Amino acid sequence: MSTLAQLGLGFSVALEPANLLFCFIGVFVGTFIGVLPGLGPIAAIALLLPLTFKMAPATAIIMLAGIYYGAMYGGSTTAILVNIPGEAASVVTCLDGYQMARQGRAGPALGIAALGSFIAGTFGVVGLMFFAPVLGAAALRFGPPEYFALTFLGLTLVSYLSRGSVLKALLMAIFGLLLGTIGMDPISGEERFTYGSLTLGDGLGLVPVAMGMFGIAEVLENLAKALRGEVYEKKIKGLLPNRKDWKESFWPIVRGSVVGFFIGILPGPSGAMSSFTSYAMEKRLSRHPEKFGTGAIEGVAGPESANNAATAGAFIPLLSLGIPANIVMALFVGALMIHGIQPGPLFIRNYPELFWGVVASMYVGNALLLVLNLPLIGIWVRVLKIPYAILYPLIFLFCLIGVYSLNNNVVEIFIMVIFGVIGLVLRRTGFEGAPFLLALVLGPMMESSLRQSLLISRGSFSIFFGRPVSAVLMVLGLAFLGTSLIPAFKRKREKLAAEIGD
Amino acid sequence: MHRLYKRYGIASALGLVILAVTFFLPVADGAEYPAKTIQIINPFPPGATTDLIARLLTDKLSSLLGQAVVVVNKTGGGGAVGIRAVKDAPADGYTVLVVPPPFALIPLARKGIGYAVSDFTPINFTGNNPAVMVVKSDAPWQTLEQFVADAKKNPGKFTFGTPGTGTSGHFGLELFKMETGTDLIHVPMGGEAPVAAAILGGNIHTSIIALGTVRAHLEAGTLRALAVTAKKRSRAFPDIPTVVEKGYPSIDVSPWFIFLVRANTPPAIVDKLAKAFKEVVGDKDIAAKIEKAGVTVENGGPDEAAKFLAQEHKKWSEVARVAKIGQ
Repeated sequence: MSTLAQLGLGFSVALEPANLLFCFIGVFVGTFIGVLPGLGPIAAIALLLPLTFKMAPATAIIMLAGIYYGAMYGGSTTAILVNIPGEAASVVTCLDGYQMARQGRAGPALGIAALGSFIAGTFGVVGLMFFAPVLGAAALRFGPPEYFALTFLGLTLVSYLSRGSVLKALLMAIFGLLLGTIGMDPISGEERFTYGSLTLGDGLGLVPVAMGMFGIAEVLENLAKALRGEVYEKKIKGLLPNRKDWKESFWPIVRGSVVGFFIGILPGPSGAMSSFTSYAMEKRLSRHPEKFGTGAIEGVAGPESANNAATAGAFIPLLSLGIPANIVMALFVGALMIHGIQPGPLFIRNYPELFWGVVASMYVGNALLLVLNLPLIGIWVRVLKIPYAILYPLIFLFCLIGVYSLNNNVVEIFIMVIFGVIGLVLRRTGFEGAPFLLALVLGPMMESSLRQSLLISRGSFSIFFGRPVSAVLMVLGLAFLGTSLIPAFKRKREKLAAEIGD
Repeated sequence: MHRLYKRYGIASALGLVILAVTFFLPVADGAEYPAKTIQIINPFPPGATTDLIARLLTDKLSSLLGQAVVVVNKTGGGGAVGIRAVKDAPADGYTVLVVPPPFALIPLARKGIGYAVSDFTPINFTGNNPAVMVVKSDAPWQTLEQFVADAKKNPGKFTFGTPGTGTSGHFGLELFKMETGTDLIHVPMGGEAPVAAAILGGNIHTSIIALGTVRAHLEAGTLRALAVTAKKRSRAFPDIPTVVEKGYPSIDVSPWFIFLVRANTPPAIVDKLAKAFKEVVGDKDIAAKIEKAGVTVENGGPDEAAKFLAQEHKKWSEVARVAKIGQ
């Protein structure tokens, strides 16, 4: 059967009234939990899982998948409006999205995020449809050495994530790598820097740290400004992206979709990695990189597209190999197993109506999300008109609830608040949070894959250069490192030379 | 502006008072158990078999006990946070713990973790999930004997993936090394799924892994099972021999699932809970769903569960001692 005929079969499943209804319920729930900071798709899906035991398997997965990609749509809302990344993937959306909101351009920022998400989500589904089996096999070629090389390449992006000095960005990255070693040693299992805290045994949670460093720090910083009423531009300039915005966002959306999809295939924190990568790429390719961080719409369009494409990519290892790339995918395994269905290499062949039904429902779901989200923009923008005396305590409260809802663990609330204070101090001294967060995302992965590789190779570093994929990534990483550092040194030398000349 | 602040101040103070009062309202005492929601604490993130089993039971448990039964994932510290939370909860039967084997292994691997298996009373030994030793389909070993012979000839050459140091996979590896006299390289991968992916990708040689995790790959022939590490052959894969048949009867590393409450919970409450669990797990429809998740249903009561836990404790204590885990 050709792909189109199978897609037809898929749509006949996805458009059954029950499936359509549950697709809507899924994306609706997803949008809302995405908007609430901290509250993520994991908690919502776990909660609704027993409900799916009585559904047909296709209906169950259609609804749960809707929650998952719906949450990615909503995740950008608080990042743009009030600088709170609801999950690690939205951290980079804060950089330019929030600046746009402060200039009265929250509407276009939210609009481009929604439209970019729609385009990327649809692109991701197309990719899933045509390449699932091939890419699943390719993902297996990523062993520990390839992961190490990839994280190394990722770290070289650090210098693109800051507006200020490269030196400060590197210092923040080192700070992130250091804090990434907190917790159980991934190889020996010994506890490091936990001082007896069981919570720290699992390492610093990304979401509490991100919410603290961006959200709480922002609230604290603005307390002073708010009394003078100067946080946001009061006049709202347009609700939707204009023509110029579109022109600037088109290629970032396309590139973000492609990059996000491929990174999404790899297990691990792919949502965050895809958005960081997209941001760095846009800044490097841009003709006016200096505008990034001051409200450049490309800095919202690219990353937001990337993390939505990544959600589609994440289905590939699950559906073609039965290997869940993250906790949400593991929940899908559970939902399928109850019906006696085991995702794996034979899944697409044995359950075509299920696979194609879910794929088709993603097209439907993405369209529903767009319809759902565009009218909401007008409401969200009005949130900024709430007096600060009410808005800030509310933000603080939502952060507290959200961070607790992650693991039902009180200690994480303290972690968030402590990082709020750290974030404030760093801001005041001209350091930025994004390089720190990228390092915190990559650090633990980098460490464990380095040590796993060396265990496998029995101590020989040649394992990183003897395998084609990892060798290419390593060389690319070294090249990036060179090109990002040399200009900085050169400038310094020129400055020095000028001073001596004087 | 000042007036505005004042008004909000009064309102929020009022809210706080209401919150505080409701918080400290006396809860009906234990005469009529259960009088409020029962929480099942799962110390691990959602998505694993443990979580699935707990969530399969809640509906029927609620209707039997006449109170809501909810699953709460209280994660952290490799499971220790949730387990300790149940230990520190009142012994009133409103906080139930559901656990896989790490429950018995954490106190062995990490001294001073703050709980012992004896701090809990088991109420239901729900079932176990047979594990298999797998290699990639193009690996040279067709049987367990071939692998063991090859590994003996090449000590320290072959890699064995586990979810991490101190996990059940690690204890299984040490037990395997003890029993077969082989020397394998331990590669902690950070989870069961990464272990499966690393074997499929040819990055590590073997592992002992839950049958449920690799089932689809055994069916598709992308992985080959050398042995089932359980006493009986699997019903789904009757062709795979067991370790008992291969002459290593003690390499039984099947993950199991047990529900417990705090020690010193009144016997009447333990009894009531145990009866309810027995009935629910014994329900034909629910048992069938649990089996579909790859788990063999045992449905043992408190005594059977306690006896089984004691055996497990003895076995793994010995492995920890010999392999010097947690020392």
